[in-house]
Amino acid sequence: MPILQVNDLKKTYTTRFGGQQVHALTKVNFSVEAGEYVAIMGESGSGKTTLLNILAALDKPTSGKVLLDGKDIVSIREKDIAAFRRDHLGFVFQDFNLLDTFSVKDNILLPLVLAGRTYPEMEQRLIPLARHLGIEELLGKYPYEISGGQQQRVAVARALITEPRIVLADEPTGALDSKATDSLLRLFGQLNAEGQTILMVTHSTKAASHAGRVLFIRDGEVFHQIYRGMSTPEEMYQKISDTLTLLASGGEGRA
Amino acid sequence: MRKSLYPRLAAQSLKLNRRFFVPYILSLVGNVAAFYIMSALVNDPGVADMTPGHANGYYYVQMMMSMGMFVAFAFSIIFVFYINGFLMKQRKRELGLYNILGMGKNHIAALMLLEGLYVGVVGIAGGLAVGMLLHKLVTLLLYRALDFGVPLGFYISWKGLTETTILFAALIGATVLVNLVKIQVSRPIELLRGGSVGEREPRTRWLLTILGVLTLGGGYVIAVRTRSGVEAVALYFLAVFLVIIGTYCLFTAVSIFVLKAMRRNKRLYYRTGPFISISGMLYRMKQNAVGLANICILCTMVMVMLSGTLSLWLGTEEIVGTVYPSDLQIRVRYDPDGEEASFDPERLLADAKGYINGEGVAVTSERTVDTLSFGVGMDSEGILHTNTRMEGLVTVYNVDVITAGAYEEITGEELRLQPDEAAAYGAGGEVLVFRWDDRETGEEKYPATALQVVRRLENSPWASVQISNQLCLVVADESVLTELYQAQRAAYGVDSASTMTWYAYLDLDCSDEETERLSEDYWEGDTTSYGGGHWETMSWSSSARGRWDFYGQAGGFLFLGLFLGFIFLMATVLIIYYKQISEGYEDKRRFEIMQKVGLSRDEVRSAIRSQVLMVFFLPIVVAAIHIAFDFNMVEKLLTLFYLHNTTLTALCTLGTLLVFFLVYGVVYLLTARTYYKIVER
Repeated sequence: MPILQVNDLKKTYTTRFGGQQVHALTKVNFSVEAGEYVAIMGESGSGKTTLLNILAALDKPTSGKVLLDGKDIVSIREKDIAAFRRDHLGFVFQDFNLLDTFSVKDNILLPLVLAGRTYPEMEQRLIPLARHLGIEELLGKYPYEISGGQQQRVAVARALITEPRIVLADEPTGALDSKATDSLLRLFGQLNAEGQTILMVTHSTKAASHAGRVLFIRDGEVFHQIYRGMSTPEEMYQKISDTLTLLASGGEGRA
Repeated sequence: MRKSLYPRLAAQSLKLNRRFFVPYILSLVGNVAAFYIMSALVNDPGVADMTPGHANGYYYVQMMMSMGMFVAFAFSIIFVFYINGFLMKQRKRELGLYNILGMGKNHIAALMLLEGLYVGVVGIAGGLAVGMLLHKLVTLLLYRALDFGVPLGFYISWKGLTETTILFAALIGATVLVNLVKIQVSRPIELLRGGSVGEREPRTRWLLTILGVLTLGGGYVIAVRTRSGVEAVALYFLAVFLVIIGTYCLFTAVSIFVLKAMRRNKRLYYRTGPFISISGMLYRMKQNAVGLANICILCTMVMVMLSGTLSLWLGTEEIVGTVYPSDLQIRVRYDPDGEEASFDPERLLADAKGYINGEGVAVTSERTVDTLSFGVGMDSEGILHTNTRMEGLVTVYNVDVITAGAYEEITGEELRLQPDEAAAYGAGGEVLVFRWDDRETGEEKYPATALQVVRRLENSPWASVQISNQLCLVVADESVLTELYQAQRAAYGVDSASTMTWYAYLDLDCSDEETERLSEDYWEGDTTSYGGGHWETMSWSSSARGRWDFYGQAGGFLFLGLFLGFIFLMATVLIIYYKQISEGYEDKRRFEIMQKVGLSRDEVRSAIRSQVLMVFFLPIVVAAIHIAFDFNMVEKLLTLFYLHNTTLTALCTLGTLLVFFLVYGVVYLLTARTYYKIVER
């Protein structure tokens, strides 16, 4: 059974004035198996962010289903959503979204604190995770004292500390320089190799080239997808570039 | 750009920023109204028509109101500049955007000028209108508070109007000028960047923390251990000074210290509520410590002022009853050992009654009291010295001596005392020893006197006029009194010794006004014709006059307290409101992030609520604690105004606290709504 299954997802916005309808997502279908590393690509306005918000239970679809481990997250009651999100999903954002008022350590522990775990349990999870991500020395510092690449690692640690079923990453390399980008993508690859399921939204070809599968969204639906198979990131990069060119020139490819 | 664009743009900008401007204009209206009313009261033409007995009380009010005007305007200056600075900070981005979009600095200046004009016109005109409406109401209340007769009619004080308009127009003009200068020297990119500068975590400041604990503790200890009005006067400003320093340290350093200590307690800290609020408070305290301390001190001052003046005003009847036990009192200072014919009290009383009866008024009761009052210093062994220049004296006392007979006249209680016995109120041991030594040479002038204290009195039977600790003695009879008189006369010398003072208390069968007329007119007659031998001074006073004067003072104080209290409270509220808004924008991002990583809406709401509650109520809770410690001192201070009524003072303090909390609570509900709207959207 796939870990995440998206069926006929549709999202329509009504503009505040004039009542015009805007179709952000028309019909999205795809699924993610456990242990997969999936990238979703698309131009600005293609509906990527809307899709991610719905997967994160931050937004409700107009119609359709999102099944996580076979459970429809659309039907979860409002008051349980926060707990669901914190227990099953991990988030990594483009602008890190670390809180300046907390130390690095407290930023990472935030989801566990919200989940009401005991302090010894928090420590137990924190130490190996921090060592694993190479941010042990940063724990006592504050977000404004460390670099962007380090901040994003901290954000990854925060996403992983709840041991989520799936990590949702929204343009994780968007605010990083190329060196930090490489380092983060290596980290994602390594985490995936250890079995972590990752779903990443990006429009960076380079970021997407590290994924095991790339979905292309255009005009609110999944337009095409390519698998890495046995190819190297360089070959994958080439494949993605070709697809993007095709997409831009208005080709009629179908998955 | 077309000329008509600016007025439209300025109006639009006020409308867009109404969240900031509406409270600003409202508070301006309040300030202007309060100032106008005080000014109108000072310039009230009706005083001239008042009966002579009342005028004095009213002059107190006028004096206090002119003082109040000064304080109020000084405060308005600080306040208006504070708000203006805040507004400018919030609007930096908007103005920077105008600049980058192609508006020159001159255009922005024109815009600011128009905005200032709008704010000024609405604020001043509105304030004057409100002031004129409320003036009548305030006058009615004031006259009632002062126990004055007929209130004056409605009138508009042109002097007040012009004074208020000119002063406040100048004030707003000054803020506009400051803004224009700021715009001229600023660079657009700086304007655009606005307030978003990263904040570091506050450090623990040990020195300030220790200083804060010591000063606050010291102030509290002084306040609690004060035992008399004199001590209270001597130490009040020291205590206030210590507590003010302590408050600043408390908010800036002690709070950080405590929060960090809480954070170090892992079990406590790593739970949803404390986790969010402790970390949030740490940052808020860094940014707002001084502001919160200011608010706290303002609140404390207002509450002390209000509760104190309210107690005085409500206690006026009681005070008048203590100081003026009868409708009319005659006071004569005389020297029983003088060279001329000795003072004859009975003859004087008979003559005075003859004069009163001659005016067609009956005397319904009469009492007379003979007293002696002199100063001594007490050494560490409890011995009392007339040589007050001696070294090693602990306290200075004013000794009031009356006879058991007089005590019975005053209290109705009979005291049986032997010649070497006394009943005492105030300090002193089992035995009171007086040493009658010369102040210059220290040589003994009269054999020492020892009195056995057989009874301690709960209350002073004799209201002392002296501003020093009172030691009141009741002695067996006239002969003991005379002996004490002679002893102190020998010690102090004829020129500086105290005289005896004789009081006659008469109750009259006539109106207050008539009593006052009798006591006033008496001086116009030939005083010597009342006979009764030689005396040094004689004075007649009516309790009615005393009451009017007291009401004038206490009522004036109360009104001053109310006015300043109103203005300070308004300032407090507004400062808090602006803090809420500016912090709302900062907290918005924090709560968004927390929601993304799994904080539910309900949890967000409760976290916000507890944080707002803490910041909002911290100053007033600390102020309430200050008041609680200060209570003892205020109570002792009020005894100097002859008010000995702990229950009344306690009730007034509690009432003031309650009203303050209520007003504060209402304001909280109003401003918190705005904050929630910002944060939750």
